[in-house]
Amino acid sequence: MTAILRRAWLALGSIHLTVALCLALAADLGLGYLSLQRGLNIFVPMSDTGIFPWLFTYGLYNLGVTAWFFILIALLGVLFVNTFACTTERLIQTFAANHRRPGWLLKLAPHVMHYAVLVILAGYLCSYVFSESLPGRGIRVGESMTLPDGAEVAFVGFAPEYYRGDRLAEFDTFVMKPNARLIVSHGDERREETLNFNQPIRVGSYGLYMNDYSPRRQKRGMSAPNIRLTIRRDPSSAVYLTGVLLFVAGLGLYVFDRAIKR
Amino acid sequence: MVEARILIACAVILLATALAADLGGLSRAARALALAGVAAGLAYIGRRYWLALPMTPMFMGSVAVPPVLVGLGLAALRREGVADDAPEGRAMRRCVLAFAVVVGALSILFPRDFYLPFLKTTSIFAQLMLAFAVLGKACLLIAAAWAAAILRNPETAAPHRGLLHALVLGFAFWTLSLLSGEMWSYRGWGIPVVWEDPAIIASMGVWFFFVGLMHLHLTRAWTVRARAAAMLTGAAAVLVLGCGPDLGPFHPPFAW
Repeated sequence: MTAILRRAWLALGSIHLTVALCLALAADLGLGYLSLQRGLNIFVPMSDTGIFPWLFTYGLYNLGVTAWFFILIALLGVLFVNTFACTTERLIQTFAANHRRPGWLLKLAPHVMHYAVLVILAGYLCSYVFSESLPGRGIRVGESMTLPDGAEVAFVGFAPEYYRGDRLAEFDTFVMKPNARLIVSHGDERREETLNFNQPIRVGSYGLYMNDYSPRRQKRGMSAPNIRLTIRRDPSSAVYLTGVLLFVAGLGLYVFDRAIKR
Repeated sequence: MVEARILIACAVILLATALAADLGGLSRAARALALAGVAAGLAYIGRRYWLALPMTPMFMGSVAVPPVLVGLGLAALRREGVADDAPEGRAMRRCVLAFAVVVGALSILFPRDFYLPFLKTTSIFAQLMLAFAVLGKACLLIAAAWAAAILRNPETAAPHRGLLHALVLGFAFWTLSLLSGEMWSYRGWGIPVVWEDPAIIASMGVWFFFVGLMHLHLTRAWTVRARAAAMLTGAAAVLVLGCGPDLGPFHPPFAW
């Protein structure tokens, strides 16, 4: 029984299986690239609905365009198991052979990257399963909104930064950074925050992301400034961000190891 | 924008002339023309950045590749100590120039780089995503050029060293590009992957292809010739899936 399990473990961690899976994933994603040209909008709701509701609705009813995504999930599942078995097996061997030698930690760099990929994949899956999204909330200056956990967010006004220079005429008088000022009241806490594109703010377990804002240009007599927000709660974002850091650390160690070998 | 288009057209014409000179045996003239092409191409990139900053110039992922590819390719030849007239050096140099001319010509005939930048690209992660992607594509195409040199003469050591070095660097840059994209996606939209962006899907496809190739090379699972042939296939993956998303419909050149 032990011998069978051992053989199964080694087969699951086979490097040939890794190569075959990677090439299959590349081909599948190539197919996905072509499929997306025909059905881009079908994938848009996934970040709001989560992965499983999306798979059983949009996914199943548009199989001609989404089949590659089902195959992708299956292949990634097998790759996850393969990577875990392969890298764990080699980590044990590497550690046993090198742990008394100087600089042995550098030998672990490839394993750090492999485990990081597993953490990132797990984080992605958890993010699409457990995250909660409230898309497209509009709010005008002077108005406020209440988040599901009771926190209050009031939009106080803009402190816009305009496009400077005359390099692109299309952007003259354009608001480059709206600097939307929000007053956040959460429990006893009350603070002022500035929201911009790529500069989300955190309110309790929720993240507020700017989708759009108006007015876009410096004009007089416009309607009241307003912003559109996506509100997301993603408890697993910390998981995949940790995976990213781990991968970068592993990559740095690997490149450093190769550089000193040379 | 028109001046930028003239610069990239000049760059591609200079690189094509350098390739022709190299094929005609005029290797010194070829090098000078190639360096002039690199300078014109870099001037194009600088011009586009000057116009777009603080945003990221749009659809630069293919049109910025030729000057970076040729510049790094010539540097790789020096680094490995390959003589100008050595057969493996010629094969590698001609392959690099050919890749650059193909990518450049496609970028001019099927342009997409005339789009105005959009505000969300002010993120540093958007800038890094583009820069790492261009460096990654250039390094991976250099690895493919070394593979062509290996297929021509598998006995010489320099192309093997050069291939592995370019492959590792290209893979590292490509990975950093994807991770920067993930960070941008997280900061801008609150999600790790924007699934409805074909360019991201295509980039992930290229990444997995090279994960497979990295494993083949590091474990030496296939013969040298088979690995080199697979690496050349990787060039096709970079051209189709890496550069393809940054190309648009056909547009007659010089019809501005």
